[in-house]
Amino acid sequence: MEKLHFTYQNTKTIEKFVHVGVVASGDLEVLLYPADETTVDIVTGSDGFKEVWKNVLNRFFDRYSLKGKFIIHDFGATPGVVNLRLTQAMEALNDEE
Amino acid sequence: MEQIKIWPHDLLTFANDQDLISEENPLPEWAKDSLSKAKIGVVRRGNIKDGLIPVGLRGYERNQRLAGFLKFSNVKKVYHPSYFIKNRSWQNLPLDRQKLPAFQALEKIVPILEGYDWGISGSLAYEMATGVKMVKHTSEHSSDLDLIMLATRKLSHSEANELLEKLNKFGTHADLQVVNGEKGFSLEEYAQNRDRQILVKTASGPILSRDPWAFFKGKIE
Repeated sequence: MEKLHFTYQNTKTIEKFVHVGVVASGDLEVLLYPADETTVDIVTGSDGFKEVWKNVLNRFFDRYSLKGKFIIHDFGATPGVVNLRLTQAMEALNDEE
Repeated sequence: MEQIKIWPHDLLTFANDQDLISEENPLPEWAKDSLSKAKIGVVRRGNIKDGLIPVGLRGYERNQRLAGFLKFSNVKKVYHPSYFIKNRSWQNLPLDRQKLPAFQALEKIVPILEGYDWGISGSLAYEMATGVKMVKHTSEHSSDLDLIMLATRKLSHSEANELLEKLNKFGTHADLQVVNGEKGFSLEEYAQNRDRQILVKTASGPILSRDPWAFFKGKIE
């Protein structure tokens, strides 16, 4: 079990809370809250992948500069799944309920 | 071996360490240790090219995973996830292992899934195939039931919820993946119905789909 923390200087304010993903092997859940600063807190069962996380997050935030508090519970997701879950969270922000 | 269909989550045994084709050379110590106990890999999602099957090697720790390839011709035995259910393979384990909550839960869910085409993967399947202690029950982490179910018929959101509720009554988290060939999605995510789209894993990477059942049938979503 490893806890990772990242901060970003993102610009795009978000209006609501979103929750995507599931607690399942090879997957993750993302909880995203409106906040004044961008923080990413990850709890992962797969230790030793800090650099991989950093790369995935950098790439995502380069495209979508979402400002908010990200909580991620990871269960061994691949970078492709992580990126798609983040994209899904971004799209859920735009969905009308 | 060419006639046998091989799908993600199948466990494949092989005879020699060198049969595992890996980008990492030399192999990490944990991988050598794992191979010394059991020469077995789990089929990963991905296309089979030039007779090479994408497989993963696992160790006891969750960060001990290594991607590699196996030649069809080097596969000795194929265990589909349903094999362990049909054979009630947990009954062959030592009694102290059978008593672990995950194996106890597995036995209890068998009648619930009667009529479905299903099986088990993950650490339980690994342990039943090899006898190597892989299922965990510690204060920090207990193994999930990684269930695999063929998408033979569409479940409604409420049917999916009811099924998951029944499967999760035995103190071990049941994680059910609905699959069709290389594609798969989490029944839990479908049951939650929280978002317009759900994630479907495919051979060429994950995608988001509005209707995974229709996507399985090859229809435009």
